[in-house]
Amino acid sequence: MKILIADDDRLVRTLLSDVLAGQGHEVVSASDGNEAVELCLREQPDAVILDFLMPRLSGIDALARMRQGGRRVPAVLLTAISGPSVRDAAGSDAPEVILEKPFDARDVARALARVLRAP
Amino acid sequence: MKLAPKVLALAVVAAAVPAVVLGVQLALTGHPLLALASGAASVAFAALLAAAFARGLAEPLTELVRGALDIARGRFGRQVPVPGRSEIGDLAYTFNYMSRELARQDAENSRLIEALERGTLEAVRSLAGAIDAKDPYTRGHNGRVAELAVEVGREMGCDATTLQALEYGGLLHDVGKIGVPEALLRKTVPLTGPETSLMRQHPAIGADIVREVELLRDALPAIRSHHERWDGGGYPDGLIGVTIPLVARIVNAADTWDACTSSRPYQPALEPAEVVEILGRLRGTQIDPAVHDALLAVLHRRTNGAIGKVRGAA
Repeated sequence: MKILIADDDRLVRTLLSDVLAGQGHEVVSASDGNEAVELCLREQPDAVILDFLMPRLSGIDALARMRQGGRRVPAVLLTAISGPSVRDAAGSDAPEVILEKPFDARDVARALARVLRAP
Repeated sequence: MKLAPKVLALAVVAAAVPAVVLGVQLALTGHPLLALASGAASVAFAALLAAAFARGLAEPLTELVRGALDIARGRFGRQVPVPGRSEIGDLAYTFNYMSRELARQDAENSRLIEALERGTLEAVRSLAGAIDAKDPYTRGHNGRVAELAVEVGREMGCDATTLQALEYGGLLHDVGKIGVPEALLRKTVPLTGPETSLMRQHPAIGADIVREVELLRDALPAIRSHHERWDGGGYPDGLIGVTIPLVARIVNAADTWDACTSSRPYQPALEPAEVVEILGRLRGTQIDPAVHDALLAVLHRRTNGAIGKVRGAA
């Protein structure tokens, strides 16, 4: 599977890439919201993992743009603030899974499995 | 009412109610002192806890108020401490994100504005270049006049808007020469009467050319009135003294300096010291005395004291 990771924290990007590559996924990564949208449209990943509060474009705004084309790419949203307020902000374009920081490799794997399984 | 005393009052009431109930029971069973002591202790304990809690609640909010005020003052990027994970912590965390994004957008806007201004200046320069193409003897003249006019303006303490007007006005003061026949511009012998009046139309023609350009509005007087004289003998409007816009008085002086120090069809370049003498004679007749003195101060600085003089010096 091809997975897009977007987070402005380089450490998070590296860790997630390593974990996902270890699970046999192909990984592309972006460091801000705009770049994430561009990459998503170009690379057509099977799922995206987005940080909520990224420079230039927040994770939920980025997700809304990624889905504007009609393809509803499955998404995991990473957030340092509480999930419910993020879900409120996301409205109709809510990501399938909201993962609160801190999380570990298993949490990510589980979240990803969930969104990939979802139709 | 403030948050802290509210929480405190609430906690004290909440602790006092069971304490009173318990106290009454203890008093009835014959232990009035114990009742009083335990009641007081539980209220005091509740008050302490509440005070700590209220402070924990109020302090981060006060920080957020300070942060918001700083951002309102334009200090984008201002960060506040994040007090752990709670709704208030989320608020502080999101506040910091907002502040960083504002700073980034502000920086981006500044870059765009700067690029726009650079582009405008380039457009004005190319318009000024059109005059140079027509009148090769004045090549570089407009740029030099603009530069000198800005320096004189700065010497006189002009604000940024005026300095910008001096730069644009200096570059474009002769733009009206586009409307003057080339043969006149290149003539090496004195102009005839009708030729002179044709030549003297160039400030008004120039002002007409840029009249509709909003961005050049402040530079317009410098273009129209740069051939007015302090004593009222200039053209096109015969303005006198301070009724001549300051930008025009400054461009007039800078124009005179540059015209005299560069070679023209009708006259070779003069020595700087000679030109300073000429300027002295024009002080108070053609040139505003204050502008003259500022110009000499600029020349003094430019030449490390070789010519010109410091303002106010005898």
